[in-house]
Amino acid sequence: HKQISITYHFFIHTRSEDNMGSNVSSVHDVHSSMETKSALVLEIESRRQWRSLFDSMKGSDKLLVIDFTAAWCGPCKTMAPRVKEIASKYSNVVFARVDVDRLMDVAGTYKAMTLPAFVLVKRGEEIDRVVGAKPVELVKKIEKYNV
Amino acid sequence: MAVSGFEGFEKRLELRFFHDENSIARDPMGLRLIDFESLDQVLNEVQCTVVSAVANRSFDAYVLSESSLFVYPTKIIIKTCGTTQLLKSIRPLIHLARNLGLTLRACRYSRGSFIFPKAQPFPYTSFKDEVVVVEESLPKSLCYRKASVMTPSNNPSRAWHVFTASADVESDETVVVVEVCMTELDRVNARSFFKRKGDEKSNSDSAGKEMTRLSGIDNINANAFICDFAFDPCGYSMNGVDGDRYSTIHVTPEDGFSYASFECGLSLYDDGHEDISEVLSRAVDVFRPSDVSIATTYGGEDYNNEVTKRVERVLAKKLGLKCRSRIMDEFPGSGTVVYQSFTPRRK
Repeated sequence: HKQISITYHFFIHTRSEDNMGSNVSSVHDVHSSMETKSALVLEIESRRQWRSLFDSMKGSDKLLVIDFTAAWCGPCKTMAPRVKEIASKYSNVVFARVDVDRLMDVAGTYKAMTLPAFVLVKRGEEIDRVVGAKPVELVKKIEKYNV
Repeated sequence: MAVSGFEGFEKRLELRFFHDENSIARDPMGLRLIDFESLDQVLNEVQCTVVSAVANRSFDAYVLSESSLFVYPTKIIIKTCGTTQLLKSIRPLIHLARNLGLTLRACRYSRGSFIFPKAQPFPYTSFKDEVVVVEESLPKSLCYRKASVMTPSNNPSRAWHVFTASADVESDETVVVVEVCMTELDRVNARSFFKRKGDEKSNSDSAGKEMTRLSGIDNINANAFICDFAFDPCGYSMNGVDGDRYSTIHVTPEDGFSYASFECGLSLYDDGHEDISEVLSRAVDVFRPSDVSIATTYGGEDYNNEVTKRVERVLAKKLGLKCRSRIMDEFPGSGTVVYQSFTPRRK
């Protein structure tokens, strides 16, 4: 009676999704796809980098998704490839990954203790969050606020 | 009673490990280092999959298609319902732990009595067969072993089955595990766990959140973060995370074979945490069942008779549930198990 539809098998990484589109790249495409790839999920290494990103986004209507992770978080590791896919699909959304042990005060500000935690921010304010490895819910919320 | 239906009663497996003396690097993460693909493969053997997961500094918690999995640095707890093959996970888990320099120290396998025993595959058709299978999977170093079926005289069909094996004669486990099994749930309360018409296509995560809120499950432990999930067309699972404490609830709401379980791990000397009898009373109140059984496992602690009596008092006073039987048994290297059964006073 407990039917599990295919969407729940999100942890199984499908090779075909990786290779999609790679056959049609030209020189220009390679360049831009490289750019996109490196900016997919910003790894926030320092407080200064965080402040600069946060301040720069305060003035715009762009959606910021903070991806809180940690070395001790197994579910975060399994979620990482999914986050990359989501980030590449919603290219106008900014994804920033914050390690809660490295940037403890940022983690503290957003009370990110149970991970993974995806905090959605617009104009400097938290508007929603998804806690847990739940790609379906994350996509749903991004679509809701990405207007 | 329905002729057949989903089996809510879970099989529970707990494996405890210690770091090898020879292992050069004792990573404090221990079992949490097992990569997800490997865990998923083990769960495949058991015939269930991960539907949701969270972690904090102390442990990882997974909600499965058929119950829950908790991974601590030196302890794994898997609880699965339906017709899952839980015992198939023992050998692969021991192997994965070995690769991390961890050696099995203790094993506990327990379950209640199935509502549909004939629907179970071998070896779950008889506890004797399950014990044989567990024993075959364990190393000889776990030499202190005991199997016991605790049968209440007032209700022999609701027995509690326990098998334990340990490398030490005394357990130093400080966590007390409380497992509550409830059947004949109040029909109105059970309705919360059916997805609403039109909700079938909706996100199971938001449906799960609604159920957590509507049913009052979020009030059982206000401190816990709840990772919930609603199944199609009905059914509910949640894992609660509160520091290093886990809790878990699973609900099969269908009339005729309705079932709900509540389990949590805690310490008896819980300064700052609430009295377990209050927590249990709130958990049982969510479902208002006609039949409740509680199995409490005191790790290395001396059996605390005070807690047992307090739980009976609180359930009687707050929910009109009378304790009909109380059985106690001791397991070398694993501790003491107390098994109580309750039914409403009027019955």
